[in-house]
Amino acid sequence: MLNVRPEMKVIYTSILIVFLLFLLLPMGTLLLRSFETAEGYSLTNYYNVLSNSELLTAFVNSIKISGLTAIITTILAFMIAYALNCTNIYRPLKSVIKMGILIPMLLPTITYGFAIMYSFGNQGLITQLLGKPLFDIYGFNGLLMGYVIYTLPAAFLLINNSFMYIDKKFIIVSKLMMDGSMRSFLNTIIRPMLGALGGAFVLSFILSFTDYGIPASIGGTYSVVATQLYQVMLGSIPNFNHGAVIAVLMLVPALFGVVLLNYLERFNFHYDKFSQIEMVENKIRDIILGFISIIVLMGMLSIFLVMFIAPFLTSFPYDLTVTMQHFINVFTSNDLTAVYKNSLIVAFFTTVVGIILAYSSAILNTRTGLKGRVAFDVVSMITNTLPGMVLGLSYLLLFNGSSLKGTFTIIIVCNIVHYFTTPYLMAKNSLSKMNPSWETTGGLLGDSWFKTVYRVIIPNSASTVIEMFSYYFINSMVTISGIIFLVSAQTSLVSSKIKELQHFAKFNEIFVLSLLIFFTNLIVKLICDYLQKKQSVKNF
Amino acid sequence: MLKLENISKQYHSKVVLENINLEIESGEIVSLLGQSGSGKTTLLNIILGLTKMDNGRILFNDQDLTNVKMKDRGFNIVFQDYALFPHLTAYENIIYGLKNKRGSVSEAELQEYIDFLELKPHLQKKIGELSGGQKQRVALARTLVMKPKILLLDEPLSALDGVIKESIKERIKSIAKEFQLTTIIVTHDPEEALTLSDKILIIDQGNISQFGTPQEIIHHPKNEFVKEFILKQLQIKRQNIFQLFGEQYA
Amino acid sequence: MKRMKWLTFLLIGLAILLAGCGGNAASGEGGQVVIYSNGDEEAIKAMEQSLNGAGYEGKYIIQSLGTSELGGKLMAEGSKIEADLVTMSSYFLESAQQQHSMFRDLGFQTHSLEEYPAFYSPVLANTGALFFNTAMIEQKGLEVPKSIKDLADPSYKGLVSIPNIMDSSTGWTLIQAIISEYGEDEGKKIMAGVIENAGPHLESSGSGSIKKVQAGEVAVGFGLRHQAVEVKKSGAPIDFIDPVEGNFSITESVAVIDKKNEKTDLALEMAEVLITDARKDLITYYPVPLYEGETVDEDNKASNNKTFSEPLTVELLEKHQSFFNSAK
Repeated sequence: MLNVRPEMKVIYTSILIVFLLFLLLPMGTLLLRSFETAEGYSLTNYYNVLSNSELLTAFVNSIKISGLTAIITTILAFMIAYALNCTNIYRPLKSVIKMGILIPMLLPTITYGFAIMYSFGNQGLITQLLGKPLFDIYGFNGLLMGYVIYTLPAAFLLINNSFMYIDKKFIIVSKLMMDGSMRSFLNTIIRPMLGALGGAFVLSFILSFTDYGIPASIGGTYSVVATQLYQVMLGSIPNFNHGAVIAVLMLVPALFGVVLLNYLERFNFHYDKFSQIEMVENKIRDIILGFISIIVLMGMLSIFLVMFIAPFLTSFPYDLTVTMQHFINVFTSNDLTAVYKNSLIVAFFTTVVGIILAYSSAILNTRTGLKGRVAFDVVSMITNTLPGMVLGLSYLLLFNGSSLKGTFTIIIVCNIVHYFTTPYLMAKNSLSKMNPSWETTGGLLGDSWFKTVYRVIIPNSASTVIEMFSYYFINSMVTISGIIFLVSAQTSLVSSKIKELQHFAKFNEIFVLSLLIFFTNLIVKLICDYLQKKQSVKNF
Repeated sequence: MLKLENISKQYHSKVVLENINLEIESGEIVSLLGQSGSGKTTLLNIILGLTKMDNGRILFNDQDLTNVKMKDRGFNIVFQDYALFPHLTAYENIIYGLKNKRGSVSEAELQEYIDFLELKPHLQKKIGELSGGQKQRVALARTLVMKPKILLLDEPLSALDGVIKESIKERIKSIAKEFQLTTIIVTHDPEEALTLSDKILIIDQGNISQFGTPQEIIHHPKNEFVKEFILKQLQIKRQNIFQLFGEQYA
Repeated sequence: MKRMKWLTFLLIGLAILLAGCGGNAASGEGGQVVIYSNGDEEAIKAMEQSLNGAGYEGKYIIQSLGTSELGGKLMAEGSKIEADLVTMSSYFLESAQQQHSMFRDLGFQTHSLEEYPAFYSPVLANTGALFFNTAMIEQKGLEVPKSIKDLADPSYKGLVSIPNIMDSSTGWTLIQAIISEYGEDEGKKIMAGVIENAGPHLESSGSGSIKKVQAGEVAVGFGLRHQAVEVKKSGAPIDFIDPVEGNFSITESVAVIDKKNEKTDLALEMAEVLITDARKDLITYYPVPLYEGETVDEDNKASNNKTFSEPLTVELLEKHQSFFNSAK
């Protein structure tokens, strides 16, 4: 490990100050405010909130629907990952499924609700095709559908990733040991995947428990915690102390989830080695799994289909003449183009500053002997636990009187902290795999530490930096839960503007803006993927 | 007797194996020797039944196995990295298959295998606690209790240290003798192949370069490839060792 | 050199975070007058046009909010609110002024038909009415409703859309109509029936129900009268009815937050433009005369105008909200 240099300490201290100011302080304030009453500090707020039957119902509802979402999502994500990793399905089809399943990640969750409405509502596209409405979409059904679509990509990525690290040779061994299909499946797939499956369940649960966009658009009369929190904070009779209590209570399942994840970690297999091997041929298995994957994918995409159709029509579903008017309206409206510009600004600064922060933290953590470098792991665990709404709310409470209120900065900082964990872990993972003696070698060849970082470390992790870029950018384009308490008239973003447009039921504008986000993200993603590919070709 | 007739295999129009003909007698140890990419592993997988061949037939004791599924062929394999279940103990791994094939091996026979492979002290250990050689022996035991008709070994020695390597070599030889078990080994190391097996099949770019006993290969190399890539390596090794010990030890 | 570059790069990044200038993209627009409005699409459009016409284009920014959201902000933040100028339901302005004394007197002559406090003046009035989708009524074999009470009839189950008084002031006109006509006790039963029939179609926006009726999601709705007139004129299968309980109205007014800076003066000028210039358009969308010399055509004259017996205040609203919730 490298000797500690003064410049490392400077960076270390600066980063810690950032997290002190924008993570620990807001959290402390939140906790304090939740106990604050007119007569000093007490548990009265908690008592009031927990004895409010409406809020309690919202909590029970949230737990119920998030639990169900988590079960459905985990099963679907597992089946699709299984189809991609353990079958001989036609390869190009596998790539299509793998790409397609990630599409919802490019859209803000608030859009899902409108897409569902325009697909399954009484006059929706799918309803029209089928002739009659399938089910009542407002409330439970719509929420469930939205949550599943929202959590599926994340759960899929997690499960698919662990699938790649499973040694498929065990399937062959199990076959040769004359296992029946059930025992073989349990021992070679389910058992090594237990940790990942549990992780996917917890992740889906927390994501749906804390999402604001979907219930805001399609919640109907089914009240959930996120909408209740919004109403308590920004409704007709705002009560910041009660809001703080709800936020703290919202943290409880997230905390519980992290504890559970750590417990599940023990079930993860660590194979010495894993190798690619041919899959045993089984046509029926391939056909069934391929079919399921395609159905899930098509189901998901068909819901978004309307988004690509409706804004091109005069007035879906009544006047189906093709028009570009809605696009022209959006692009000629100062208001909407300004909002799009705002989103780009926020995404850009979030990404650049976020990468610097996460990358520096990871370097200090993995490649220096700095005392207290574990602090970053602790920070990343905390940010992983924090729902965006809770973080945003705590900023509102702490910075409401300050000059940060209503600025882009506060939104950017919120995004950076909210999404810190994943880019940090990406950087950490790639940096820790690099040869540990590069800095020493660089030093012996006359480089300063910064110079080695600049000349050796960064070029060798370029692909990771690109991945971090794509993650930060896309997430800050789509987030709504994190920023809903922080936007102002002058810093309005596309995702919060959609909420405003919803108020006027301007669905075409909503879809046009969603498409703008979608294509922006798609382009960023494709460019990043291309650059990453080029990087990896260059390195081998 | 295992007989391969005209076996060919292509992957995406790239020829991997071409017209392989081969006869292996019962109880023989045969090594498939070749460089990486030569097709030796594909041939092993074809014999195992994992990979489908494009042309040709496989006969075992005059029975046509060409279209018999992997599971029903009755062959078994020990993979290079052993593929032991990490959540089970050594003993649980050994008896893993017996749960599916009750009564095929008696308690006494099982003990015999365990004693033969000297695994008694390690039975209750988790896989992670075993050394490389111990893992190799557990994997062998797990496979042997299934009483395979042919034992396939994929690079059985490559993950082992020097001394253990020699002892496992002896172990494989004695297994073949003790249980009259036809054994097919994939390896890229000429020394290993020539000192371990009764016969060696040298494969080069999907074709049989030479098939014969170690003596035949050493003394009558059939072509340039065998001379250049197989014998030369051994000669250099011999040279180095002679230099170390002095000629008198030859 | 490269070392310095990297070092400065890092420090600049941290400085951005710490100093909070965040790319400073906001500062360029810092001089704009911020207008918060609970107005509908048409109202906002009319206000924008009049402001642009008076040469204020680019000097202001309008943020639309739900009535309850904006009300909450006014009550919670007082004059610290981001906005320099608001257009908002009058009863909320009254309560906010009472609590925070946050508005500046307008100080110009308005010639309004009625007397208003010095710190606000109405920009528009909203009137509630019933409307229905003629095609749906026929298709489902329903009777055309004559009163709000009719909407509680079980035959309309799942086919009714009403605005929610918790979020929308249009929803309040519905409650006012029910309570004035039937009193609280009988009113509660009718309310319960209507809510039951509306199910998920309880709209947070005053214009939500006409959209649902127009889209064929439901057959009948209660909402803004002028919107129904408009939609009917456009040729959609929509018709409207003035309910026997009466047409109740809510006014929305403009007020200027007294921030004691130069933007306040500019906001005052804009407020005057809104009352003088924007009214010409606003009255066509919200055809209720508020100032001397204003006229509307026959279609847009509600046949059964009524006002609630008590003055409209936030306290009364809260009372009516709890009436609504207890009927759920």
